[in-house]
Amino acid sequence: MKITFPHMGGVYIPLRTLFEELQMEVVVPPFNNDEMKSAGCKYAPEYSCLPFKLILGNMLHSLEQGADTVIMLGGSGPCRFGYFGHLLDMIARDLGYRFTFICLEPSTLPRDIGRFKKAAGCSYRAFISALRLGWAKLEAVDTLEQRYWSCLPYSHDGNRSKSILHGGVERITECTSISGVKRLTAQCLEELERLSPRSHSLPRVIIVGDIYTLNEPYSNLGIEELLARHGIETCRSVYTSIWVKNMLLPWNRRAYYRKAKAYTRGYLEDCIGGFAIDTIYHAISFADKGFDGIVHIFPVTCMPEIVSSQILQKVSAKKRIPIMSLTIDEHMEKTGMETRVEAFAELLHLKKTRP
Amino acid sequence: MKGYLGVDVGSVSTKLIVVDDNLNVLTSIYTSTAGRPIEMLQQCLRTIQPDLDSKLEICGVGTTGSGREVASVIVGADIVKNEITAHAIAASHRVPDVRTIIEIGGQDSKIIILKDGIVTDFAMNTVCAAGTGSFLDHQAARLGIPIEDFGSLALKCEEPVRIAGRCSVFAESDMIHKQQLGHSIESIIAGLCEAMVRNYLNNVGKGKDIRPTIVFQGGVAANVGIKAAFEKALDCEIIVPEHFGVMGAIGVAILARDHAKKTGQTKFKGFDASEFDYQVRSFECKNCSNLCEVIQIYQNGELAARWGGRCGRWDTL
Repeated sequence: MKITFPHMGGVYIPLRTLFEELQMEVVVPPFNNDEMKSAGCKYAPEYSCLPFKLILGNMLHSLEQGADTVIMLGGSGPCRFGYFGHLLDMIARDLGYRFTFICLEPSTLPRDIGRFKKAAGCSYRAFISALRLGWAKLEAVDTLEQRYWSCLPYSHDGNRSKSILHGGVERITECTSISGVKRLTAQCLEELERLSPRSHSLPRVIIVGDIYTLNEPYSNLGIEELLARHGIETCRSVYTSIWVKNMLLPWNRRAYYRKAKAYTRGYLEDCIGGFAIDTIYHAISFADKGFDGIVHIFPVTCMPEIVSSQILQKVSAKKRIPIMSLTIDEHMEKTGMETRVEAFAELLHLKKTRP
Repeated sequence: MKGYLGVDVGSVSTKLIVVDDNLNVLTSIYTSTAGRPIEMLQQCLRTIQPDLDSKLEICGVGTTGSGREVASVIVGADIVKNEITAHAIAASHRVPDVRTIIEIGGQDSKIIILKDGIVTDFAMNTVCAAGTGSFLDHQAARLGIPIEDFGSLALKCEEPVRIAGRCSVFAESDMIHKQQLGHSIESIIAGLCEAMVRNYLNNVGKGKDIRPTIVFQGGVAANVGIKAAFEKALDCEIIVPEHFGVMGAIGVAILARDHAKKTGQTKFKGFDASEFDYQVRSFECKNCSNLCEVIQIYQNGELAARWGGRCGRWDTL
């Protein structure tokens, strides 16, 4: 059994660990690049979103490399993501690939896990312990990334910070124990902090949008790096590990949405699918925390984010916080992005010095 | 005598301007980029040099526009600035109490909101160029009307027809349909101007706090029909500054002057830069799966600049 899965930022690390711990052969697609994009665009429906096209590109590449099992998250929310898995399956089958497709649906999760466990031929005990190690890695990588983007604009030596992050992620990926992961994380965090003393305060930006675009640097054209280069500290509204933690257990999920709806009252009263409510919730909560700007980034034709981009205008006016909205598709050029980011960064710096 | 050069290399047009210490425009040029940014820029340098006083010394250079990086290598720029900031600086210098800037160029359209001369909000078109200069150019060519006459023809009409302005191809089929129904060219052109303005306000201008004083600049500001349509839609007067077509270049010239005053030196390569031979080559870096496209500029066969890599590998020459 050769298993594969699509990329989304750092999720390949825990997934690879999970499957390798269970003695499975794993095919990790190359990090997203223009090749992946072209392959996805060739077979995806024109009006599907960029995340779908990239995921498709990843999957076709892995199948070409001999993967025979694809694992993918499903979802029954009103966003098109719910159909992604099934559509991927159909497109790949039409192209002549034969494989086992495991789509993890929230409603059938226990059954899906049972199927997966049977296919892997492992015990529950081994499965749980592999899952725990994978989970520790996901949390570690997210924590590192989060700290990295808040430290980078203050760093004395950007390249050094970058190599601390990449080195840290690499060592965490190879690590075989939870305690090792924790030790490595603490060590990297300390090194990052040491390199970035905060003698002055730079503008802080909350980046809101859908989970894929936020967490997959290729699909957001490296927005965090562009902002950091202009001296802006950034934070994402959704990190994969935090999102999973909020969604997995029903009581966590209920508490999360209760809080979100308390914040979005008067802006968006209900969940309309995708990450719309998360976008509005975090835009408001971070504005209240004293952040200096909002960057809203989402793929073209993404319904929930189109709705929230209109509502964010109201947030911006009421909370008196500048916002920049960026729509991304496969034709987007980095030059256009740089222009907008540079202008937005200047606006924020000016606002900070002359409020 | 001191002069400052502002260069704006856009996707459709290249603009050069020279201002003096008091920011009076000494000379300016506006030409088509014609897909050859480097050649056109060199040609512009050659064209403006004879217009300038032989005693004039260029003490600062700024570049802007989508080709600002390339342009900065060729002229030797002290300031490289995005076009949003450049336009805002120029507009607030020419019209100090400006609150809203409408800028429509060849492929870009933007709105900039200012308060007390500081940019507080802006938006720029993404993924769609309907309602920009290229679109108008295309329609004018199709109707067989010189683009210069386009606006004045629109003003001759009392009753514009409604044209679908979302997509340039559908706008075209809609216009053909209206022609077949027997509407006059004037009313169709006026309708097109209104459609463009509607499209702009619904797209780029959506949710923006548009308040007077409003300045309209960029190449499309030459079109009096569009200006009138904006005045009708926004119900207030719109100011088109004298040098509306080269405002981005003026903006960076102003920044170049401020920079020169601070530092007292310039990287300007001189008007001789128009004689150098420049070549742009790019390659795909295969060192990791990012597959960055690295762009290199050679000046007389020697590597002069390089960018495009995401890691630090290609940063030093």
